[in-house]
Amino acid sequence: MLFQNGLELKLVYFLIISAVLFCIGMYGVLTKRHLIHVLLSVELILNAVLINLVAFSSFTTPDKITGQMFAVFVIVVAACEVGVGLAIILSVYRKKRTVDINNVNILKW
Amino acid sequence: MVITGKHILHSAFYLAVTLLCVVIYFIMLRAQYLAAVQILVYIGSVIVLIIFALMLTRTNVGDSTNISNNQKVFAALIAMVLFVSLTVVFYYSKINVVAENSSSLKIVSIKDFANILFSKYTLPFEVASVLLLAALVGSVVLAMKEKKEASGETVEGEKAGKNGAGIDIIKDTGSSSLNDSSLNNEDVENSRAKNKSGEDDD
Repeated sequence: MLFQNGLELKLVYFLIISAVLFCIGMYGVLTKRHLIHVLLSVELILNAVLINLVAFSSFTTPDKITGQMFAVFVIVVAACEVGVGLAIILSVYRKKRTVDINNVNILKW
Repeated sequence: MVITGKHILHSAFYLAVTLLCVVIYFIMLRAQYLAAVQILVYIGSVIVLIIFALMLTRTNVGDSTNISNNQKVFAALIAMVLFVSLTVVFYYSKINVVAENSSSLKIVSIKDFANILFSKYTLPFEVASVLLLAALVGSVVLAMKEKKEASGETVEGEKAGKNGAGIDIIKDTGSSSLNDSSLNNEDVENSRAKNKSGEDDD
């Protein structure tokens, strides 16, 4: 329907998009100093993983929907992760009055 | 854009846009149910949660949130190397799976999805629900823990504030109705005295 006239849908395109998203997210995780910004970057990485899962699922095994099922569970875990992460960020902010990641060194030996 | 946004609130909205693009990819891959779940869960709740947390942790970092640490070049190098290596791997791995025609990508109906979810994947479903519950309780405990000493005072203060506001409303309505009905001044003074005594009690 969508790609009838000559333009073909390849798996590699989705893999490259996913790789781009993953690399941007990893750059963000490595460079940002705001805690919530790091969390946003982790969300980007999780979305790259989701695109990968769904692409492989619907290209290699279109009859089964195992990959999509797995993606649903990944979404559930990502929602849990965001909730707990934001609660931890609030707790850290309440204790240290900052969200700068360089000042959060309680666990540093 | 999510990474290079000037303000972190802008970054959150750019993240929403990115998630919408991911939704478009899902629809291209004929995963309509996942697209709906993505809109509901990510754009509906995760972005709202993040924005709430941003409002709650409003601090002086909010002025210049785009501060990066001194690993910028290093991180860019790592990301570029990873991307190039992934692309090379994709290029040489002969994954030339092409959808022959778009009908080969089957549209997954919600019925199939629910059948498989509740027959084959029942145990992971239950584990996911328990995980959600644990995350809910854990986040509430984490967010509440520090306020335990001050919570009693704040609750009482809120109650007092509410009572005071209620009395004010009553006073206003009472005085206006009294003015409208043009009663004599003694009743008005009596009512004001009653209101004052009520405020003192509170």
